Amino acid sequence: MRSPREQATVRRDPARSQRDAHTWGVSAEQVAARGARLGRWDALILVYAALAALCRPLTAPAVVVVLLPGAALLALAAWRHAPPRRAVCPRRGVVPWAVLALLFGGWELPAALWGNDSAHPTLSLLLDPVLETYPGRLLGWLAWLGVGRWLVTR
Amino acid sequence: MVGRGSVVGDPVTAHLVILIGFAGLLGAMLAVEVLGRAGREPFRPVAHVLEAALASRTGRWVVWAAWLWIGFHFLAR
Repeated sequence: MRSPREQATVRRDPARSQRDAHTWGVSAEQVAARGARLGRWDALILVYAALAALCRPLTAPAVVVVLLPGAALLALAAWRHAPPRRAVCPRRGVVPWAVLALLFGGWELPAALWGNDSAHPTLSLLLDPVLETYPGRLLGWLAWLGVGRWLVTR
Repeated sequence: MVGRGSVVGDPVTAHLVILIGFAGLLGAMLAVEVLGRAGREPFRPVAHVLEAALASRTGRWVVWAAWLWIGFHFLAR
């Protein structure tokens, strides 16, 4: 039995619902329900990011507003018990990203060890002027929560 | 610095070198992502790599810990 929202989603884009259903091995109703849930997630993330960005970094409220969604999404990910998926990426496809991650760590570490000052800044210090502004923080929050939402759905 | 065969300009500082390094890494990540999305071997989009990591229990915890650390480090500290 489809809810009115699910019916509307399938009616709006039936081809996409059927294509997604075929891709993921689930029914069109499940795909529609997933779409409706994602819509609610989007709204929740937008509202939470707008409020959380009001908190300046290096303050207690900023720590709390990071830990709240962090704990919630971690708990949700642990609770979901998603069935194990087949790895979709060959090992040699991982290599470029692994090399870049190592290079990033190797580039960040000397700056941190040299004192993380204006002469030897880490990435977070370089981004400080951006994250000190509300629009910059809002973008940071949207990106971080968006990635968190994506991880929960995997 | 002015002299025979020398270049005139600002001295290269550690700050500039670090900045160029981060910009280069960002550009390389962007290039790998674009090549991965275009289907060029052996490149894969970062989402595929993360999905592969999330397929194992250890990988899940590593990815989630990294996500939490990034949020804490950049948005709270």
